[in-house]
Amino acid sequence: MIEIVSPSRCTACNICVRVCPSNVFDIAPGAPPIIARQDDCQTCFMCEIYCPHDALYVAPNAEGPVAITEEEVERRGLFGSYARALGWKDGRMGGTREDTTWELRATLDNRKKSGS
Amino acid sequence: MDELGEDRQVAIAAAILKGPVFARLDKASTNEREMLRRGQPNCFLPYDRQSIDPFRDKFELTLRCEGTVRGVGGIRISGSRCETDIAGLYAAGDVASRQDLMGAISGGGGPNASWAIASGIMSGNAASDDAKRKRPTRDARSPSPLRSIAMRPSRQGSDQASGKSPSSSPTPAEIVAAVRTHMLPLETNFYRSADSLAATRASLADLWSGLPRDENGSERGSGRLPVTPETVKHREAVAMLACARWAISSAIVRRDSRGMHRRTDFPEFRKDAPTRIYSRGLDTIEVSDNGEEWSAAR
Repeated sequence: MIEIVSPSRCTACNICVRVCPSNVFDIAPGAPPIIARQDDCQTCFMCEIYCPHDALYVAPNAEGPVAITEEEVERRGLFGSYARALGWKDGRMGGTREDTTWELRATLDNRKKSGS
Repeated sequence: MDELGEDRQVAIAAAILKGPVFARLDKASTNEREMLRRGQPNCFLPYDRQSIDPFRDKFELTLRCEGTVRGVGGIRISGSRCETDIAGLYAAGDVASRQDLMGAISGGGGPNASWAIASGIMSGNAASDDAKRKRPTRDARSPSPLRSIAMRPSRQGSDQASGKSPSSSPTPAEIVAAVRTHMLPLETNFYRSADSLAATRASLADLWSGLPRDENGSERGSGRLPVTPETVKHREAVAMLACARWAISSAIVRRDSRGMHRRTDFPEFRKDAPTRIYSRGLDTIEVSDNGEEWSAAR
């Protein structure tokens, strides 16, 4: 579930409010969006990867909130970590060319053929 | 193990019913680990954020529902532009049935993502062509109740139909929780049988009859209803219950096993069984194996 909108990173562009498919956020004029309906979060990570400033953190537990602080997310380098792993940058799509799944398939097929 | 990993799912389900099941990916070579990480970052995110090294640490497994819950079932597509049987309504993505693409299994990420993009483009083009040709009717602009099911939970004494007190009208969260209770357990929905399906069907029917009724709801266009977050959530919960009823009604008449539908009382795939099962209706559900001749679900 969405856990953190970092006030120090957020520029109140409200992109996360728009990309959220389940209307979790409320806009606050001139301030970071408010997590108004955390229970409605589907843990889809859209808000996090579309954020141009790596200001959001979504915890992988979809069943309920977890106790995690902005300090811990910052210390562990988790802000923007999923976007970086995907190859997204500044809230923009990317990384498709780095996808090695096709190669992996070939490796597994070879392994099956050689019977190991 | 077969190509789709079907045996693996069955083995895991059987083990989970006996107790916790753990895995670790320690058989992957260094090269494969790197390729897995680069190709499937989404799969590693839950591990990384919980400080689990899946190539070294044991982590607990669970199974997630797909099939008639997500991934195969959906609104029946009746043409090549994602048309439905309702004029002017087009379906896309998870909402639209992709049985013609995937048969009785879920597509997984690749086919499902392709379907989302393709059906989005097809339905979007068709709908915009429609919009260019004609002005929307009043019905298209303002939502009306689904037959007698109210657009929102009842607050005061509008619940005479079921003879219950207003306080017994379930909230959206209660409806969703109840549907999960009946649809998620492996015991009743990973493995299905006539008995378990009949019990689920009866429980879901009770839930449905307990929904708040709208006395004017059966009349078309009876007053314009405001779309608020509250009415949307209520409608979503009611739709989820309707989908569960369709899924179970279809599963009852599919008397063989195929893809993700596993009947303990009909464990074999039967070539002569119907290719498709369709279901429809709200208060009364009907099923069909050809989409043309319908009979009441029993």
